[in-house]
Amino acid sequence: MRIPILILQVAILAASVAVVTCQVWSFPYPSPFAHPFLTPKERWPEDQIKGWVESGVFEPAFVQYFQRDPERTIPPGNNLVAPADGVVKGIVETPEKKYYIVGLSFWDVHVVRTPVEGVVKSVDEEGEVVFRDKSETEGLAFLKEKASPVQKTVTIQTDAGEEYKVRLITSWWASRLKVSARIGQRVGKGDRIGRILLGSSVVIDAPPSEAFLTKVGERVVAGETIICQK
Amino acid sequence: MSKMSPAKYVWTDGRFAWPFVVTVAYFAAAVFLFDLAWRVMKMPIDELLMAASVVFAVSFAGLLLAFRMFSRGAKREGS
Repeated sequence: MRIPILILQVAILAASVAVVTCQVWSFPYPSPFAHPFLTPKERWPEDQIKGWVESGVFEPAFVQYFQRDPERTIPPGNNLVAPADGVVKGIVETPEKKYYIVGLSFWDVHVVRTPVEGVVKSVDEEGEVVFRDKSETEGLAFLKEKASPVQKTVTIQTDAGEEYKVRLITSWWASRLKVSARIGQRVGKGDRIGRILLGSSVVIDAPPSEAFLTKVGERVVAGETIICQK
Repeated sequence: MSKMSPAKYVWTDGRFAWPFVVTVAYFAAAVFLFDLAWRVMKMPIDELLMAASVVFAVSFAGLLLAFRMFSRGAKREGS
């Protein structure tokens, strides 16, 4: 009887030492034992994620969480839906276009969806500069913050002949953008067209006549939040 | 009154003394729960420390009382 009790006691003591050691070792970040009790934001604070970005070594559990791709219920009707999960960072009007900017955080789903139904006319890639005409970036603070933004742009033409661009934008250090849409492919509203691997922003270039329903600072959900009623 | 050797509080009869094992586990749990509370509750650290000190003092006193009652019960059974 003495030996099983001793084994039990050693197990309890070892577990206690492991808990405290992990606590000290992980500080100021939470210990792995605390992860199940914390929200993703508390589990992987921003400083920790920035450290992974700099070192290029990510915690597998975070990568698994980051790559989640939940199903969405696409609303019916003649409307535009949000292209990405995140917060509306700005709605910029120019005489030619309206830019609808969604900012993604580390904790948002990074799957990008089409705001409208139509045919993919082109998929373009640009590095270093986001807009060819420098005057277009005036007032677009979200781009100035980035050291060297890169982007992939999917141009979609609706059946009515209107043209919408969905820009996947990220910074040079996280410059991994995947576009799954192909030229000539017909896409439905809310369909997946790509993924941003880390970062950043998704911008819709819409005709100037569009009146967006959501305001700056509001949270939107890709494929579900109606951002414009046509 | 028989005097107990301090080593007996840690090791007795070829195994660890239960009060020692329970106290170590209690401290580990206290450290873990304090860290969790600090991350989840978002309280100012001074307020959290005060609340944690009260909870720790009360629960530790309860633990000591439980040890005392357990040892009295064991002595009564042994006599």
